[in-house]
Amino acid sequence: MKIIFAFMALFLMPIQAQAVTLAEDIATTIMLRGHPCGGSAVSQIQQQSDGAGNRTIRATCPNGNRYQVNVSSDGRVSVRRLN
Amino acid sequence: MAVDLAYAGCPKDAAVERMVESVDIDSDEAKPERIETGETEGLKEEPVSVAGKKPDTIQKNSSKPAELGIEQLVVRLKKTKAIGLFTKLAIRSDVFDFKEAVESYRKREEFEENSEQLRDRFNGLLLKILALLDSDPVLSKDIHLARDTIWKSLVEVKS
Repeated sequence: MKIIFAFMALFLMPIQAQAVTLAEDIATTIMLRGHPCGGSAVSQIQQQSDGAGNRTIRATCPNGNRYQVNVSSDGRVSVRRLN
Repeated sequence: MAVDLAYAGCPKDAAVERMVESVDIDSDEAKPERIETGETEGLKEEPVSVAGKKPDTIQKNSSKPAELGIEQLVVRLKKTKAIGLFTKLAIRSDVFDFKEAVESYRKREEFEENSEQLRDRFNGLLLKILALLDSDPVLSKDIHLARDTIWKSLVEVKS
């Protein structure tokens, strides 16, 4: 009986969004800009930021493509392939 | 790091604020369907719903979506953990590009001719967001329900 209640409680729990990792976030951003990535998470992430507030992220997709994600100080996002 | 993390979502807008006031939660989707039987002679003309209940009763019992205002949806979109920061910024860029395209067509007085094309682009953008919200189905549903309101707020003429 306890097991039934435990299962019922599990199903009745409100569904909460799971937090995405940085690797997944960057992979999604790359794919949103129309670039192939071959998976849902990147690796070898390198982040840099300059004094003007621009941020640069370099990461490698599961398909081997390496990309640079540029986030400008006003929040504009662009992606370019490096290899 | 000088990138402001607080802007991960659409910004507040005068147009958006105006739309929040005019949001009608009781849209057509909440209204029950009527059945046309054709046998109306001798019967009282009461609206009959699919389930045979009065529409008023159904409207009282049906659960209304909690927050369908643009401002609330933007706040929820900012807060959701289903989408990461960079993805939110990318979506925000897309929304800005879309708004710029609308403004451009308006300036050239070509909006009406291109409204269908813009609507297709908007639908594509919305589809992207809904796909990203796979792990936040409640927000996804609410954005889907408010799609017409969002469209109107994006294409309305700013005074």
